[in-house]
Amino acid sequence: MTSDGGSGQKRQTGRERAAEVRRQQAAAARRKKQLGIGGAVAVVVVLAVLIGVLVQHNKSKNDKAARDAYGGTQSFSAPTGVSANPATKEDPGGIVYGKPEAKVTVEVNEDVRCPYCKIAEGLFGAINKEYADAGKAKIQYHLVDLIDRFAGGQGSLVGGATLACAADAGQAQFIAFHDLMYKNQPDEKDDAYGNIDTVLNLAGQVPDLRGATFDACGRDGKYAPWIKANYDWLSKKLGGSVGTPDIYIDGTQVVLKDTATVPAEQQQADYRAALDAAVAKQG
Amino acid sequence: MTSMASQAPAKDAPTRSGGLRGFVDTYQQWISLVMRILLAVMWFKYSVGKLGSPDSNAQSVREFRILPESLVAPFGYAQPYFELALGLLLILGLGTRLVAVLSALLLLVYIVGIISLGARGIAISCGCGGSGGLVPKGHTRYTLDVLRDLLYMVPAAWLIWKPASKFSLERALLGDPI
Repeated sequence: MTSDGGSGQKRQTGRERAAEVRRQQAAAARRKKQLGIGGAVAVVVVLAVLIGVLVQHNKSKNDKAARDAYGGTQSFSAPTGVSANPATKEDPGGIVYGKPEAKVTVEVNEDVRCPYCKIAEGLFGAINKEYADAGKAKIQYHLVDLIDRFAGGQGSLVGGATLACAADAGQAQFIAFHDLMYKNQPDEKDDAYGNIDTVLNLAGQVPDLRGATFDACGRDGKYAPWIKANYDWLSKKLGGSVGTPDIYIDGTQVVLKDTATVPAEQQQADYRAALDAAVAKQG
Repeated sequence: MTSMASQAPAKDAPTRSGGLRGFVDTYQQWISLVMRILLAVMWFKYSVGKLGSPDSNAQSVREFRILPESLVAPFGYAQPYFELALGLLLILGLGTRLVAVLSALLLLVYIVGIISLGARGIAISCGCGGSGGLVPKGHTRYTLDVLRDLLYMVPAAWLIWKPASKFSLERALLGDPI
């Protein structure tokens, strides 16, 4: 700092210096506040993430607990007339529709809560019934609880286990209830079939189905272990990656295609052709 | 984030040039307010659909087949709350530029995720706007989904550029300019 300037200039420098100090103080205060705001934002975000993980984890655990509670005390048993004999946890079998001695086997792995199973049922359900009623094929329905496991809720399990109870009443009751469940299937996000009363009310529309035995079977979750065993069986069969619907005609997979790409009539014609080929092959 | 200082607001720079530039200079803080609200509403909308069913959202994340299984659930669980926090901070107007940067990054993650689905030929309805799930091939709307997320990038980018806005907590705390 040179001292050869005029006194006026010196005073000005002093004022400037004071102003500079004030500016610096103000800037430092601002920076502190900005840091504070940045810190607050970080805290809010981190807290939100932590709370989110805790809350959702807890909710997920409760979902699973509710699922385990339905039929939780039941030991494994299979509905009447399943394809496996004897039915075991490892080989729980599918519910058979049609004459057991029919040569062609259609295996349908499905979940009453799964929207694409409803589409497949709409396309192929009537054809299956036709071939089974004609004695050309038998259909084996393996019911699983895929959607429950991944989307939460228990509609696949409660709905599926109660549908399995209908097999005890007879093939006609089973297939009628099966049709009805898909026709009335709630939105995937809506766990209406998780409520046993809703499912039993629906069963009331099927002639000769509801009664003390059937209602108790549904309420107790008698076949809940059978549904879970079928999931494990399917998971093992598919190498861990379960997808429904999963349909086979004599072991050959039928892939459900989008009806916008392959028209429904085409898919139905292909399905019939595959069934006819299987029937011809079996002689 | 210490670089929150940005352009001085209009009243400090009364050089009114005409046209769009002049409009932007004059109403910048109001425009930024609108952008804040737009982005916040988007995050609330994204978040609410996922809050209800943790397993369902984790499954949506899983279907992208990007994260390893051990990270699927934590990401799926935290995601809606993270989105909610961003929305909340935007409404409050706290750390707007930082939140806008985080928003843009998250949107970028979504966009890259959806594009990678298309590239790998995986058919799902992307869960970004609510709930996802497997859909048959040909039923995907990836182009639309990407366009929608790109559109939401606009308010985020604007707020990174001009975070100062009317009715914001940080402006009340810091004064002008932000």
